[in-house]
Amino acid sequence: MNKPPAVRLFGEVGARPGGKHTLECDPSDVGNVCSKIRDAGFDFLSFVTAVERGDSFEVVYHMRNTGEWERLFLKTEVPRDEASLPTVSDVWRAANWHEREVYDLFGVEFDGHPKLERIILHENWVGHPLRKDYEEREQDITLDMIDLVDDEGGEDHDVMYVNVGPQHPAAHGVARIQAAFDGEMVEKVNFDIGFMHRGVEKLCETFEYRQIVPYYDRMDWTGPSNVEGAYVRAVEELLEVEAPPRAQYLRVIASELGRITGHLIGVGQMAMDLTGMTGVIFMYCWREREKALDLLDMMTGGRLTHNYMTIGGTRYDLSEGLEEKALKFTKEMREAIVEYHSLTTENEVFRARTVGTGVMDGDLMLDWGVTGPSLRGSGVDYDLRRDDPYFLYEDFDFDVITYPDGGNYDRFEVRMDEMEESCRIIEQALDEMPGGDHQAKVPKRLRADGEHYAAVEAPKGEFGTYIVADGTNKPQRLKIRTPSFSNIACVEDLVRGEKIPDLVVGFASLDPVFGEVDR
Amino acid sequence: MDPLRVPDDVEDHAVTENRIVEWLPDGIVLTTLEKALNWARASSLWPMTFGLACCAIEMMGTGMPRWDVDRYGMGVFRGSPRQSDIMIVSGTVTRKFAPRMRRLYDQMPEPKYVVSMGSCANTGGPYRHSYSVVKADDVVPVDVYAAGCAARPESLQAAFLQLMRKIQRDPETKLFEKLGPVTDWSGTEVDWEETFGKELDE
Repeated sequence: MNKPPAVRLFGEVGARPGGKHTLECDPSDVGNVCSKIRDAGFDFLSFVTAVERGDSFEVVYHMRNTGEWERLFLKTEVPRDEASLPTVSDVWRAANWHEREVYDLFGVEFDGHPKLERIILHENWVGHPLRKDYEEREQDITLDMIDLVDDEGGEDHDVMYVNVGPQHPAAHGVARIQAAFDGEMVEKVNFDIGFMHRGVEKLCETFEYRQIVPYYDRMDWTGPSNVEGAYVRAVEELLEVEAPPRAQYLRVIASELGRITGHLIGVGQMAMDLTGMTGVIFMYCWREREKALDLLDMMTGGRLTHNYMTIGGTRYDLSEGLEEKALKFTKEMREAIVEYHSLTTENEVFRARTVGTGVMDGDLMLDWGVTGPSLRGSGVDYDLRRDDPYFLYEDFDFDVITYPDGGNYDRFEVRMDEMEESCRIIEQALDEMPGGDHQAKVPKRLRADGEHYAAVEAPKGEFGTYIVADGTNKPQRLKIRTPSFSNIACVEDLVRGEKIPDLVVGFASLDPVFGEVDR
Repeated sequence: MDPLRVPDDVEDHAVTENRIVEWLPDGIVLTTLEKALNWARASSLWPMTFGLACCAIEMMGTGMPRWDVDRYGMGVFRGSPRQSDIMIVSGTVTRKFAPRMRRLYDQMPEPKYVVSMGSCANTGGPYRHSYSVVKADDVVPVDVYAAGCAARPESLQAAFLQLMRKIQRDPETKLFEKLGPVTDWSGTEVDWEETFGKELDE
């Protein structure tokens, strides 16, 4: 029963065990092996990436099993000159975007992929930047017009094209949505992302382990403290460093404050998309957000970019007077949530726009790799804080919020209720704050070897870091698994057949952040 | 005696001006057209709703009641570049986005101003060694730089005040022209007088 999944599956799938929880197989078998893995219950593909190993690329798949939350890695090696292997996008829908990303940044081709095009970089880009021998050069980047949506219906079929973005007043970030409408119904949606691609993964290969934390802050700017956790957790587990309990509690407080600030932006922007700038809900959300930011400022010294968590602890101890202010804040926050409800979910227009629109069931969401509040809004009870505890989250008493129907309304409600749970966690952490030091003794020069994947529950979902270390003081490869990237991939299924305004709401209800999507 | 008539024996215009001011009723101020225009421009800058990265969140925060940029007449964020006076480059400019940003800038009517917000837009910031990041002033002419990573609302407001001061002190306001050479995205200098002056004359 307690055998690791790789061992259990070994006989069945025709692959070799490659160490702990890992399978290896030949590149040509990937399609078959993956179907068998999927049949064995691994219904959630977390990410696909590649790692450069001399003359070959190692393509890595990471799967999870929603029944028992086991993890599995599948690895396969393809030669550098002829990097191609079969696609698995027909096994998990989530693989679609991840394979395109690997193709874009590494140049590994996936045979049989429905749309193997560059996803992040511009279509005219020359070279694959995450290869080690990539040389920077001038790129010929032009403006492209709408040409990607092709009219399949013939002459009698009237299709209207609408281009949203990349600069658009809804202000979720710079993304471009090309949509085709039949009358008022959405027929096809094509996403153009990558406008915020800053090359973090490549930059991280040039920095020492300690220098990477600030880059994580700048990926999810709505709730940066959670995201720092994704990195320090992975490095600490890789180096087998353990932060003292006081540091863990401080991290929990920072994370939950970050979750509140993140959800306030998510909730406020969705309400703003529904009622326009004149809706005051966004301003009310900012009123509470400023209070939370003041607390974070007090704790970490920064409103937005904290650089608070260090490897083995936190940068500062609990600030004087923070406890009192935080307790006052949680009290005010609870009252504010009631007020938000009176402005949104008790509003007839808001309900008419959200209840029953953008509905997607939990299995399909998982197939697309959606995590976080968006997944919990479809009734899937999955929260890494409880299922894969980190930062001593197992000490805290909180509920994992789920809503059954999977519509825009449910995703909105999950966020509202999670803010209340975050208040509970902050109060418990302040109440039971252990004594002692806030930083463990860590060697000055950090050298790591091996590879590790760890994830945390960020406001948008599973935020993970896959580190491949080669014994030096810099990572050889750092893959960042971001929730928003996988979350927004499902929009094309989410809004198909809905009306034009529901496209905007459906997109907003997934609460994407484009620093995460594009990295 | 007509107060506005300049006496024949007086050549000093200052004396004339003083006599006019004395004659004016209360509540009327004399100034030059340029000064009045500059004052009006500086006091009603409408920013474009244009968020890029982390700084965009702080830009939104600056627009919210706590920091209240309505004090400076800047609270009217416009959705269209054609209605905006000021572009706040709030975040990292990537190679893929740069041509689009230039197009947005070109779509804004003159006079237009650019505030570069935060380290990324100023210098590339933490991403200056990245293969896909450029600076804001590689793409558009920048008037004021706001410091910080991410720039705090105070920093952005300081930049706004600096910009207002710059506009008010503009010694040679030209109605339809921005001072200084402007280059387009490819780096060639654009002669604005030649491009737009003729159309205006006609």
